[in-house]
Amino acid sequence: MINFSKLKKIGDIDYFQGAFLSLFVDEPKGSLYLCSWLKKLDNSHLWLVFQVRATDVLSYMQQKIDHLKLSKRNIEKLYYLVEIGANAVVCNTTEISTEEFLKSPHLMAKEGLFFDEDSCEDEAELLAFLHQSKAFESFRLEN
Amino acid sequence: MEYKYQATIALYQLADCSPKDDGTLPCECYHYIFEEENHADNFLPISERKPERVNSAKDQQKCSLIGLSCYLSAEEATKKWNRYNKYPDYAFEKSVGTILCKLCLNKEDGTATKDKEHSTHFNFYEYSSTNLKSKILEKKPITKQNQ
Repeated sequence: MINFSKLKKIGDIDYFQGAFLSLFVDEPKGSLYLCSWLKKLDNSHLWLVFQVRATDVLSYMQQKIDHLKLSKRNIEKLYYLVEIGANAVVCNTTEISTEEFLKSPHLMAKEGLFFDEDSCEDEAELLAFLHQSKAFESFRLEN
Repeated sequence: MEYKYQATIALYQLADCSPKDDGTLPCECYHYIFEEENHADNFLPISERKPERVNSAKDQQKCSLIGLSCYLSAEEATKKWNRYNKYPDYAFEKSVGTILCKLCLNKEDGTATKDKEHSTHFNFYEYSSTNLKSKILEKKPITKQNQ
């Protein structure tokens, strides 16, 4: 089970009066996770968290793929539903399988939700981080 | 002039939260609200909406938490609303409302800071004496596109 509280936030890929889609890293392994907003609950917000490759996040930020395609490029067999409450405290985490995710349209963005640079506050920092991570991924594959 | 959410600035120790007036005001602009006139979240920045939509303690250091998102163009505001509403299960419209509210803002009402120089979006930091309801010029349902 993922320990979301231990992940380090790199920045917000999509932001409007708060985060919608954010990039996190599991240090020191270097594994990347996306945290995508799902909905407001009574005392928290529900987020979809899944592991991604830097290459796929870069494809999203270059508008080559939309949010829906990006969310299907999870590199683990599990997705995580994470409830985050006041002061960013994690209240609950649930695992769901890829099969379950693919059968749950209420967890998926509509087609055509592409990256929008106007909605990205941290674009330069995110791109720098992702290019570095991509180079690290290539190095790991070659060795 | 004191900001309306000065207590939040102090609580989160937003030391660098002194928004710069970039010349956007005075202006007419557009902001999303709920149809219900007295909805508790109308004209509230994210820091005051409970629970706050944050996913990291780092978010609470952002000055923009106490800013209200506004657009200089109705077309751009409508386009962005429709984009954000592609997030799962139409959660965006449930979170910000379905009405485009036209406001007339002056320098006496607060400070406006654009994210990027040519952006039509800006954050509006309201002064404590401002009553945004009295600044409404017009309200219209947002036109839903291809949903």
